[in-house]
Amino acid sequence: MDSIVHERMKEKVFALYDGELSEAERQAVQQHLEACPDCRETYNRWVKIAGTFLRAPELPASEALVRRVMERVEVIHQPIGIWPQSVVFRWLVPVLGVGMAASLLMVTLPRSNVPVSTETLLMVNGTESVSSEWMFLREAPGEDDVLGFALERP
Amino acid sequence: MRLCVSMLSDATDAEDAAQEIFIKAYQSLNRFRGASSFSTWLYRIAANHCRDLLRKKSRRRVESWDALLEKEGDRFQKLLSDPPGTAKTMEDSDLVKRVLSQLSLEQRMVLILREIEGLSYHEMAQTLNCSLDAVKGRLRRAREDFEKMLRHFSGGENV
Repeated sequence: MDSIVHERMKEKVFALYDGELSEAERQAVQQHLEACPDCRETYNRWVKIAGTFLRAPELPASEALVRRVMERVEVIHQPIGIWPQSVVFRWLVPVLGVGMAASLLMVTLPRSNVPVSTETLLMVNGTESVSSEWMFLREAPGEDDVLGFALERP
Repeated sequence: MRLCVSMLSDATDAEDAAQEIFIKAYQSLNRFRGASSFSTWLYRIAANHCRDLLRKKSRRRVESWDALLEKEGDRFQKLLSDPPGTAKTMEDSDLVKRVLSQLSLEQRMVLILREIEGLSYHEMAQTLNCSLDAVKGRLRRAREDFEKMLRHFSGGENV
């Protein structure tokens, strides 16, 4: 037998076993197997080995695996932070925000709406309490007539 | 999951690996472009993950070939002499896994993808990110080496 043909066919013995040959190639290799004991032996040996040793293993029950994977997928979807993603808590954050903003307004608004006048300060504490205003007046004279008058008094 | 069991030879390790693989796939879904089938893409993730695990594991070397040969020679001969189709026990499967683990990582991978998972050459090339010729070459060498190891056990009588 032509050794080059034999070598070429031997290359294709496993491809025949794997079902990876075209129809024409398959027929050619099968014809060769009938005539060549060496290649036939290689083919039959591998059929036996694969059938004995390389069979799909038994798979363990997969329900627990699916459950664990789904749990981890849910964790991946959770937002980073301390708030759980439930309907109740989803509303809690903006409500708390609005509440805090309202509290801040209530604390700051009365102060800005009722300013203490210079006259009130002078009547309660005398000129000591307005020393900072006096410094201001030195820089900007004429801004507060009442204060200017009080500070100029001997 | 089957690929993990075959590659890692340990059910617990395989289940942990399968979990990681599914999570990796889920997180990479937006990178799946459809160039290969979804199953091939998933196989590629699984193959890479198992390869990484085995590389780490190989530092803690598995039992030597000689020790396995000496300890399990009789059991292996019995397995070889059983007629084809004989039901295998858990111990038999364990023995086969231990023999498979003596092959190199790449050889084990191609044998499992082809013989156990039933992937075509084209799917294997996509999974392993190599050419068709490389797949054929690796598969042939893996089969020859696997046969050689079996001959060691049987003394060349049954295989």
